[in-house]
Amino acid sequence: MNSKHTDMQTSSSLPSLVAVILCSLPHFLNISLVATLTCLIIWCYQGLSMVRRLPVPGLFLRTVAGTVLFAIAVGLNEGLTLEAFVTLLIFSITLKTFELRTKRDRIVTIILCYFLIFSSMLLNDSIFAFAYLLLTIVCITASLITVNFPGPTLKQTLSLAGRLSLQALPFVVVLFVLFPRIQGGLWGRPPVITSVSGFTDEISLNAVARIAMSNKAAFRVSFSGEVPQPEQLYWRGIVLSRFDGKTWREAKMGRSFFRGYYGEGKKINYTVTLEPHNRRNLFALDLPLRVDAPRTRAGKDYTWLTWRPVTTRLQYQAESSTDDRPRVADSYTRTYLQLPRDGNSRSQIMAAQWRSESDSDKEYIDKVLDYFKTAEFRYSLSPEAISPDLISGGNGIDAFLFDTKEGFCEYYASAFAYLMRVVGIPARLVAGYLGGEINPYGDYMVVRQSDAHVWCEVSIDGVTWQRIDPTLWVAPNRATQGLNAVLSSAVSGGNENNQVTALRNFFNIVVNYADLINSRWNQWVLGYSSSSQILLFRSIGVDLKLPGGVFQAVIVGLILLTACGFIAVVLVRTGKENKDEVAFYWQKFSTLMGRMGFPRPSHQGPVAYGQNIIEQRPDLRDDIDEITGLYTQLRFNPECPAETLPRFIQAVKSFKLDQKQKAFRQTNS
Amino acid sequence: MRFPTTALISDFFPRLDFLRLPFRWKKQSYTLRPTRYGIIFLLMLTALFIGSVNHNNNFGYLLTFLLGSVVLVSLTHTFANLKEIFISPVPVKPVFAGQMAEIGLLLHCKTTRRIGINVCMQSCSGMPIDLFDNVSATITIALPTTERGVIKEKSVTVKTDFPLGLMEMQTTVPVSISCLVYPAPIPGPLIASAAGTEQGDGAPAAARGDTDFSELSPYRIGDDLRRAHWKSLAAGKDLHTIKFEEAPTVGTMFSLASMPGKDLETKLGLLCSMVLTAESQHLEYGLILGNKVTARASGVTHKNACLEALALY
Repeated sequence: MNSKHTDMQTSSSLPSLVAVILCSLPHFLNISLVATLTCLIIWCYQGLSMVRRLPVPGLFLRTVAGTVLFAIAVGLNEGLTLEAFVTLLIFSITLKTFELRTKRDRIVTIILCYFLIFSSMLLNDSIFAFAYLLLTIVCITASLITVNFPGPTLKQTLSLAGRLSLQALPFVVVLFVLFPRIQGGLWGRPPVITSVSGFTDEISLNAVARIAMSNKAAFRVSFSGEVPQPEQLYWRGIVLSRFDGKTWREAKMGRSFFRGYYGEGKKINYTVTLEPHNRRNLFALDLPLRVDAPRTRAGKDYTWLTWRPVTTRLQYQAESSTDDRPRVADSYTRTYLQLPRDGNSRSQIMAAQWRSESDSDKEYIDKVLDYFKTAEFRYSLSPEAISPDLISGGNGIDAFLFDTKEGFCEYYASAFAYLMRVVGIPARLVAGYLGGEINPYGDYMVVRQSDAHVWCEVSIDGVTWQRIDPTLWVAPNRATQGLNAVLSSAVSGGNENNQVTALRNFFNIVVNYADLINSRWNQWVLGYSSSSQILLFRSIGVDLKLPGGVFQAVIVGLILLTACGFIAVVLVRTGKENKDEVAFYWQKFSTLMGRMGFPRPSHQGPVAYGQNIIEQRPDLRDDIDEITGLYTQLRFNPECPAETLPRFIQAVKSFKLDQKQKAFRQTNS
Repeated sequence: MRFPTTALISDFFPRLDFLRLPFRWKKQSYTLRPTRYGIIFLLMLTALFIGSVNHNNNFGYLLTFLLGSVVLVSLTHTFANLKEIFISPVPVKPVFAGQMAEIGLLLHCKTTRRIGINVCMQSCSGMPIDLFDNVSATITIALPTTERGVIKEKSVTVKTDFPLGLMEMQTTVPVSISCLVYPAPIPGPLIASAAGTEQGDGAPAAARGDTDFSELSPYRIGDDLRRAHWKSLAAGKDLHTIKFEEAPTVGTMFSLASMPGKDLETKLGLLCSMVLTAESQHLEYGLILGNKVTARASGVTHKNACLEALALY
């Protein structure tokens, strides 16, 4: 093949490569580093091969490479998870770019790119991701156009792609708003958004801090009234009461649908928007009295479960009272005293000793808490590991209480609950979140994954459960200032200079605004549901629940879609940019002369017309000669230089300005 | 990695005719249909749509509707690209049957630039071209010919899949095309009929034809190239020159009636070959086709007239 041919080949495979890179970029946050590097290396090679000729791998090599990459993709991701699927898709498309010889290959690659774009929605659905995807779609559409029709310039192609997207927008809005939503989907749904959840339904002492430092939102809350005090912001999720010496688990208990509990305290009403966490637990402010979510059942421990794991964003209303405490259900008391017979002997001995020294359960509790406070316990997200032998032997609590003395909320809560049960005080763990940050711009609260927390409930009087959070005796500012405050004061000792503070404040403002935008996006766009549709149609006077309502809605939809069609057609019309500038300015000149008393007869050519005027107005000779001369050049000389057109336009414009000034002077004098 | 989808689709639905959507606009009928890439795209879109419905995922709905709408509104561009294209025929050079007739068409549009316009005729299409406003451009369709006569078309199909290459729109534009197809020449000896006579002398002419025996001899440098026997070269042998042992008398009439062979087409083919040979030897020749007699003459015009007579007989 000669060099010209290869030039053509590279220039037309470039758009496909750009498309592949653009739509792979957002995935790099999700797929593993090895996969990212592999892709980058292959792309660099291909970029280089456009500048200079490099060997293209043959079919055998590609097959081998494909197999290896498949193994990498599956191996890196522990089986066929969503990430593995995305990695595979990116790999296959990247390999496909070695086969961009024919138009067919390029088009198929670009269509696969569209598919890749869609798969990125499974991993991130924020408004910023959507904005990026819009940009990518415009670019990919542009490369699809270029691959099909290489004639137009890059600018023309991009503007065409942009115009297509603009034309499509009204359709998207109408279809999105009107398309009937099927609640619950067609069949079972695999979990879509895999997020790191700080929340667990099992607690053991060998767990590392899963919460890590994930700043992702767990849920957002908007209060209809006053916002509770920070130390009240315990978000109840699950109650764990079975302990086998190693792990705390949820006890089996009956659940039922019912309206809610009776509470005496002041009611707090709020709306929770829960991010998908692939579990069935719902969160509500302690103590929740009522949770209004569809197909949800309440347990006697004041927790709520949905019928299916939450895989899409869920919004529900709830009512709580921070003053009330859960009531003890008699039939389950034994569950809350259950302990393994063996293990943790040191704790048992110490607990028995303390209890004998105390006059009441309450005094005993104070003694235990005092121990946490004074015995040099440290709060740490990465505590010194307790040896697995001790934990499997059922001595984990001993090791924590007397040896390592280092841990986070799960450690303190399980040790505390254990010490309670040993002496016969019913105790259980409650897992959920503690805290929440008010967004100053949006009047709502964000509870993040890093706010995950575990605390205890004990029953002293046999009637109600009292909340005791042993972590607070170790890290007192955990409740009021959040996890970050606890950790940063432990690390830096709290001395920061002003610049860092200013930067942090600015960063906080940006984060808050971004979160606000995103939460509105979640609320209005991603949270749009069939009930929103019913409300929307009701506001324009169509009741979808009446027999004829759906018919009316369909008519409304058709009318709107027709309107969109008209908009689209109009946008095509305005897209005509090839106006004849020569004719336009010649027409301008003729009109001007016409106004000055020299209308151009339609049979007269430009030269004759110019002569005609000059005969009557010799003073305009220079100008008119120039304009008519340039015009005839433009019209009849196919080889006239490129600058003739701007000169002609300039001549007409300055001539017009001159005449205006003259007329102005005449009227003034 | 190969993606077999395209191959499958092109195998199973080579024409995709069952997906056509006809419509009318300003008294002209248009047809819309997806290309095979369009089929792949629509399949992908359907999969994504089902996924969105199943997950009740609004993000998915947004993207699906966006891509669907982009394809939908791209049709307005396709239509604007296709409408108001004026087509005028370019005179077509006659061909011999079996050759490709190159049908030229002059495309012209007054308004905006057109991109990727193709013209299709009898399921043959040319290379897509771009049209600038007020600049005419020519597109050439190579049409295979099988039998002599006149190819007459009253209309051609103009089509384009601009801008995305996913949907193709086509319309029929009236344009009168005619292309003369001469009979395919069948090489054979020159068989002249009796000069000046019109009929009834097939046998004597045939007898005379024997004396007009022509043979091939290997080409030697200096031989007249117009007498070269190109067919033998094309058949893979060496180049030969046609030798005439006895030049025919000045002025020969070729008659259909005196041709050997069973069917008319063979006879016409033989005649066609004779006309060409005679012309290449600068002979004067005439043609008797039933009632129609072409007077003896020579020259390109005469040759063409003779060939036309053969084509139209």
